[in-house]
Amino acid sequence: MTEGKLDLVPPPAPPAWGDRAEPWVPDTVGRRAKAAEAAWKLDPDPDFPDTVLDRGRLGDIEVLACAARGSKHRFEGTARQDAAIARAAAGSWALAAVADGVGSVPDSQQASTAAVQWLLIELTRRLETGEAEPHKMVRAAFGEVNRRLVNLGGPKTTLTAAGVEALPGPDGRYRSWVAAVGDSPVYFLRDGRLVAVFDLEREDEFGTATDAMPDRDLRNRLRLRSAPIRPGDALALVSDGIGDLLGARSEEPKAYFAERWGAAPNPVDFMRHVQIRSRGFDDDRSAAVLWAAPGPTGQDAPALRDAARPSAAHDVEIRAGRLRGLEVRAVSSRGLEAAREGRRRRARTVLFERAGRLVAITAAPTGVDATADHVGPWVAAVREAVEGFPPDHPSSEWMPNLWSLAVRAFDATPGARLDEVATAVLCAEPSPGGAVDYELALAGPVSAAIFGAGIHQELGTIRAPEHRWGTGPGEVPCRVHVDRLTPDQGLLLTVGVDPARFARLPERPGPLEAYGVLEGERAEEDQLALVLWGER
Amino acid sequence: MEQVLPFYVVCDESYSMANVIDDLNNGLRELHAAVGSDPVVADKTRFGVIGFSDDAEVLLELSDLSEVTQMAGLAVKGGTNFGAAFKLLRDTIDADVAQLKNDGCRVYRPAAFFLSDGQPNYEWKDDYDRLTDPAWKPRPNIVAFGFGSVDEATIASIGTFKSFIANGTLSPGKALHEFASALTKSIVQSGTNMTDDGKVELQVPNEVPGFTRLEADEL
Repeated sequence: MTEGKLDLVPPPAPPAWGDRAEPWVPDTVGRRAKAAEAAWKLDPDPDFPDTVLDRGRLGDIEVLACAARGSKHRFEGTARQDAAIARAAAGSWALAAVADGVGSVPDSQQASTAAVQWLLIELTRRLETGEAEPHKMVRAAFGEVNRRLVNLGGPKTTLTAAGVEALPGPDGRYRSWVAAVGDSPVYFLRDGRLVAVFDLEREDEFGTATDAMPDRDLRNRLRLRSAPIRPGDALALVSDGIGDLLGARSEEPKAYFAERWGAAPNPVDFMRHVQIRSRGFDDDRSAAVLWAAPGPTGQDAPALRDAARPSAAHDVEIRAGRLRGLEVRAVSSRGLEAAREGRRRRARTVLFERAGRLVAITAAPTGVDATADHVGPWVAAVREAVEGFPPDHPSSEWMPNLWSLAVRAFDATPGARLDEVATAVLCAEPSPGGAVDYELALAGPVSAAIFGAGIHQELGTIRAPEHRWGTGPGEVPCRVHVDRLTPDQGLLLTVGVDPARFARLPERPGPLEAYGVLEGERAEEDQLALVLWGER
Repeated sequence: MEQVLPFYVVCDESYSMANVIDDLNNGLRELHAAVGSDPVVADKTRFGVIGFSDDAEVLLELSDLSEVTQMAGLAVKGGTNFGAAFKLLRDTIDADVAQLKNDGCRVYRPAAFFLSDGQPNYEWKDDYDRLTDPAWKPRPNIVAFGFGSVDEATIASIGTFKSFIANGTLSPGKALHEFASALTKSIVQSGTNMTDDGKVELQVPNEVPGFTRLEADEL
């Protein structure tokens, strides 16, 4: 130490994580954000995955809606509190909403996620019963959501929504409205410029206070405006994770979004834009953008899902993280057929930690029966079985026992058919030196492959399963592998996508690249992929 | 165009601090390491140090701790002039906030950790009132720590957010180490728990070993 001086040694920089290569790594405006480069921890609650996206078209209106954890929640392993949604209502209105759960209240993700869904359901109900006056309808729907949020007993959220009529009126413009409680702003996009629809001034420029729902004085909190738009215009609803960037004195963020969102980008790019990096801006990000884009569309253009058939499932879901020495990515995406018909995604991946292990469930429908959902009850049955029979249970054959518990619980569901599900249940833990010990149960047409050095091999072709279950009449055959990945190997579970696409990647994929692989090979059926490897 | 939460430590350097100054300097070193290993906190907080005795001086300009490799350590000097410290803190905040805003940053309400072990021997009330003037927008949240011969009521009247007084259960050196650790926790917690309703932006532990928290109604 120099006389009177303190010498300070900076800690070594952590290794880079996630998406590192073009074109997947999110752009940076302003100074470099180290927090955005830090490793993610898993989402603490699998019901709130890291990133969700809705996409689709209704009439002339193209919509993308995405909510993603901010770098703070990713670094800490806390839940995403933003929510975003896009739906079609009564076949004539495209609706979208974003909500930002208020961070100072616990479990605010419950409020934001519920608020966007409830609002769109309420709006749809009113549109379907012929409620003609939009403002009256929006006020009533916000009021109903406000009432229901009280029942959550504490969690609060901002709520911003917009509706745009699917086809133009006689004047060539599309009727629309925007409404907001709190500081999730709305921008009007025209001719490469972003203009805030509502006044953005904060009462205390040094504070972060916002209005939020539920609020007893909703009438005076709700801001509502008609905003008819012309072909080529768009309305962008964002949470303050993006709003604060757009409100910054620098023109750079506004120019960034105005340039990229003049017309609907592809959904991977949209997701990447939402996650734009800037030092100090570590809040959750969400954006829902509605473009008035008349003109012909491809035959595979995804249709906006109908809000009248409520479901928490978003069209795309991404989960990723590092758990002890494990790296994992899990992505699921709505298939072309479901997208054309405006149906929801049914393929699912779930990741969570139990007893220090990574537990993953992937499940996708195999049959053509679009009316019954066997995947949801199956995933619920496996989750319930893991709760009651955690992987640290001193049982010599944990996975086979877990499997039979899950099957028993699933069979109790009326109409449940496991032969309609392609599924994998995985439990993994790190082993010294970057190896991974895992147990994997497989049923139905799900691909499980070991990959490394650019090639992959189906697990079943290189190794016989340790156990075979369900070989009796009427039972669904299940094969169980108990094995170890060497440090240069990874495990790939896929449905609806060629595993070679992952195996051939020069580097192990970041979360956005994993989704990009699925988008690069759209399939009729829902797609999913889970990639696991040991951290070297 | 960043979002910045400024932290200031305003520290007594009067003669009576002689035995504990090394503990405080070690605490600052640990603070530096803790902030450097948390990128969320490092990205969003700035840290400055003001020392005071008969006069006050800026020992560390408001800095990005992850980029600081050396700072002037605390060193003992003369008497105890609170007023000079408060005046310099206000002037420093004014200049820092103006600079940050000029750089396009959004600035959250600053936090100041005030530490003293002695009786003020200069008039200080007017400077304190200016520092806490409700009409002055960037007025800081002040957390006050007292130990040694400091007057309890004086310390309680300085903290606008929380106030603590050493209770003799730890040696002064250990107590100051706890002070530094509370400061680190506050920076890390506040830097990562920026909330949307503005009420609990600053996260300071309610209990600091070796100190008793003074309730506002004990004034």
